[in-house]
Amino acid sequence: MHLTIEELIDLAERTSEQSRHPHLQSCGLCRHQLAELQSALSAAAEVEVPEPSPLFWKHLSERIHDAVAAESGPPSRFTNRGWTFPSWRGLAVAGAAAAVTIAIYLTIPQSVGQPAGVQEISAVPPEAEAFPLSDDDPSLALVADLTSQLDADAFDETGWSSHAGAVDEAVVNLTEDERVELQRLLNEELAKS
Amino acid sequence: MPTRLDAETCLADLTESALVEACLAGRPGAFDLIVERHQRSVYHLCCRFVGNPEDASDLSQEVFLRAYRGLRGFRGGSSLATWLYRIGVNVCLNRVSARTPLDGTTESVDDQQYIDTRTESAPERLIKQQRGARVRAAIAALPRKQRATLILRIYHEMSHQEIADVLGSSVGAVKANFFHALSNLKKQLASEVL
Repeated sequence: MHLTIEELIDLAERTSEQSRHPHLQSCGLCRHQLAELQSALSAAAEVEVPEPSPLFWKHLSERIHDAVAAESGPPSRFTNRGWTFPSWRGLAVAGAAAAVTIAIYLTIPQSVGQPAGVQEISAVPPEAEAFPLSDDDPSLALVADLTSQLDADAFDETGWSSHAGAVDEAVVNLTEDERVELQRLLNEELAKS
Repeated sequence: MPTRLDAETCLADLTESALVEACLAGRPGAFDLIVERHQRSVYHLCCRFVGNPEDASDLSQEVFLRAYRGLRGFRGGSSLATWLYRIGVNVCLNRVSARTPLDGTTESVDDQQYIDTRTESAPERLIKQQRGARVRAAIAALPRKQRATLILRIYHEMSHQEIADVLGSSVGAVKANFFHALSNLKKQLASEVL
């Protein structure tokens, strides 16, 4: 029976003795495989990473220091509550998306007999399906712009999810300070549109 | 009252976990010291992963930024280096999956000018540089998990178990990845005398 992958790796790395595998003496295929592994291993092992100039390390640590400082951001009224830059970006995105949602809602024709403003924002009337959401809609472009800088982790930190009513929940859960800021963002975005 | 120098001296004397605590407590210079201690190994990891120094530099910065953001999540179950490698591998995997083909295959000989080769003749140096560039490009072209396994095992001397922890897989899977990485590397370098 031929040697397993694990046995071959252990032999190639010399963490196992060849004498423990008598099969190796009689099997040319396993010997060949082992020789190939050892050859690739030594070829890879002798390659060094080009060493940057001594100044490089100083510049890199300075770059990281600056990036971390920017990450921490200047003191703000949220700082003492542990708010960080990603959360702040998340709030901006949430604000913009809420503005778009409200703008779409306001421009959709209301159902006959349905008092305006009674429905929840997430409960979009059937007419909304016919609402022409164009790809070049500037409000969508705004959200795209704001979210383009978010990676998966940052997106997670926004607390956003795709379920119905997520925006409503987010707005309801805001603190007074956050609500004031959201209102400011909404006013800003609505003034632009 | 402690001077700035005293504070730095004290930081340098701290254990790894105490240094993390100091960082979380907002002590100035604590994170800088973490960066100073680990930037070389993180950079090397990234450089081997993507195959070119420019991207490696950007990725290293990203690794430390993520580490800074997630420092509170560091439990000390593994060494700080292993934890940083885990972040580094994730950052590199994300970058690699977003870019095809790899920029690493375009490495130039000029990128290698800082290798200390003072004891070699010029032709020997050139041959070694070209050969090194080819092997690095071949490694950079390996499938992602195979590449991560090979880099962590050969260049960072991590155990199979540590690699399994970093990659979230089993020791058996790590050995299988390592086997296939070496086999593929051998195939890619088949035209050369190994």
